[in-house]
Amino acid sequence: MKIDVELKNVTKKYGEIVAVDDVSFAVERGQFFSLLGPSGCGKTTTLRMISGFETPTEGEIFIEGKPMTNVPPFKRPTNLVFQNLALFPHMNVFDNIAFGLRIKKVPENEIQKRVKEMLELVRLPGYEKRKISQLSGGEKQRIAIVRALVNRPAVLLLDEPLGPLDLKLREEMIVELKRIKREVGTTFIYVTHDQGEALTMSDKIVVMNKGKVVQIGTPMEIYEKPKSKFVADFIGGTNFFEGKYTDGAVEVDGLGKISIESGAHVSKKTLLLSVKPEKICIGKKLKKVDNIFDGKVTESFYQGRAITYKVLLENDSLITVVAPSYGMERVFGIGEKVKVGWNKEDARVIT
Amino acid sequence: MNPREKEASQSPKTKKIELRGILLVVPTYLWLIVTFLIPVISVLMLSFAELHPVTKNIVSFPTMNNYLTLFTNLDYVVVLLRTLLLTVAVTISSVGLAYAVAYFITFKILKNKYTILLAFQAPYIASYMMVLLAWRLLLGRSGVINSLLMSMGLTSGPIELLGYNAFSVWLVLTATWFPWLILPIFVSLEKIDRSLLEASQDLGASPFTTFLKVTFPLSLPGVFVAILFVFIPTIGEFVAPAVVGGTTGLMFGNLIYDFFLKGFRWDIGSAFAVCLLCIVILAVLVLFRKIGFEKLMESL
Repeated sequence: MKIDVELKNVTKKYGEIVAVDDVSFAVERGQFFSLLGPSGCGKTTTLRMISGFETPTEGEIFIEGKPMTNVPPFKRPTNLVFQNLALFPHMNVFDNIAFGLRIKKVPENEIQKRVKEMLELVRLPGYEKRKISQLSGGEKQRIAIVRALVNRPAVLLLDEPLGPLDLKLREEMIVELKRIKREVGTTFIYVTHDQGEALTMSDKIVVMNKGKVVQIGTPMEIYEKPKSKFVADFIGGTNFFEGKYTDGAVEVDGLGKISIESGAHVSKKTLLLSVKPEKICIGKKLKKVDNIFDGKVTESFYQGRAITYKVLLENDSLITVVAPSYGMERVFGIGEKVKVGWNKEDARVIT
Repeated sequence: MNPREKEASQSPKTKKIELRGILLVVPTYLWLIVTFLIPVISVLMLSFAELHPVTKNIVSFPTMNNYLTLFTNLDYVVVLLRTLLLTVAVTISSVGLAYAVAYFITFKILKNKYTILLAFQAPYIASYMMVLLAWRLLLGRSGVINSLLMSMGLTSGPIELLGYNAFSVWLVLTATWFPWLILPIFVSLEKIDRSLLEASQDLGASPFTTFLKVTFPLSLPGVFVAILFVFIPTIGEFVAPAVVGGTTGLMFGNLIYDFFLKGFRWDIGSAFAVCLLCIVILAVLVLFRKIGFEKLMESL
């Protein structure tokens, strides 16, 4: 596999503040690669270093194998889709998209052709003469993406471009982005704080926290096999249980034994378990589940596709349970006594 | 509520608001009519009348004689052309200088931007007349600058350019106007979203190309306002040429002043004033057209 972008021990300091701390990762050609993390985790700074608007304090960034330290943004083979899109208000749609090509002195008939192709790619043919102020949020979004893509960059960088859109439009744009990605095949590096976006679109995700990379993996690895408490909690939320390990189970104070899969973690005495809310089933009676506990519903939120419960267990810990509305008999009320349970393979040991 | 109901319930309210709006602007318009429109119309009427030089009675009306006086006398035409040339020169130099300063303050100064901006307005603490008289001392064939240069042995005789002439008028007007013009240009530069400039660079434009294609076009509203700010008063200027213009730096405003206050030919003076007014209106219209002002403002 060819590596398009590589960061080697990149650190960025603003005075005393370390925004990005010793970050290394490699992005393969054609990947949809996401930088995911809470605000202030350094993901945008990392992206801005790749695009050249920030210079690393230490470390080196390689794009297509070439070191980028002394290459200004306008000479890099990357294009950025800005968070606020940054479409030029004094130009129409055509001039916006043609901007980069005109700078590169591409012949005018070639420009015409490529702009037309791009507008077809995002299904906005005939939009050439429109003013930016006449476009809707979703349309601006698409124009911003093709204004970058038309230059055929080695890497397309996207800085939370879906942030300002409403939910429905955002879902549409996620599908749209995946399709565009499939059609053009360019490497995408996508920055977001929204785990849903990252999981849906990415081939690979880098989870960042406080300037550091905390985990790199496929969406499934990140979600199902979080390596740290932070990742387990940040991606989709989770329930934690802490207890002593004794032969095949974790003994939690006041709750009892939680049986887990046998693994290499036997050497440790106290273990932290993560059980994702949707892996827990809830009911009056539970069968064929490895771990079953009694609990009392303290809150219930009906959300259409699913119902979220807060359940108080006997050891006074509050857990979150997400039950699908499919095959559901009824919504349990507040104060109702229920049983909650999960299979042992769904209790993940956090190392 | 369906849309029609909504409309029905809103319309009396909307009317009320409209009425209140009109009441709010009426005093302003009345004020403008009294202080601006009436004098302008009087001058316009007067320009087509011929007054008796002594009794000030109207001898004939309407007549084009006053306008003929202007265009048949080569001296007057020369002054008019000089005025136009000076005004254009002052506009270009002061707007250019102000743009450079505004650009520098906006993009290169990170701390205490507004203090520095304000510092440039310091010259306006002194009255215009005081500043002009100071310039009168500095300039002139035997003014401070020339005397200093000669006493230091740098020049053998006085530099003629620094005497009381059209060049000095240009110099003084540029110097007194440009700090004021920094403000509108600064405002429109400051308003430009920095990510647009980054986007331009990201798309391959060098900083210079970015300036030409993004920064400058987006700052045009401020440049436009600055041009109006300097052009309109400069074309009617009569104080600076009177103080540092000598005989060769006289401007059209001086002619009008003289006709009104020295020669007591209000009729000819009015015709001259009307000509000036027409030039200003024409220039403003051309500018509006050229820059597509409304369109430009809309797009921002």
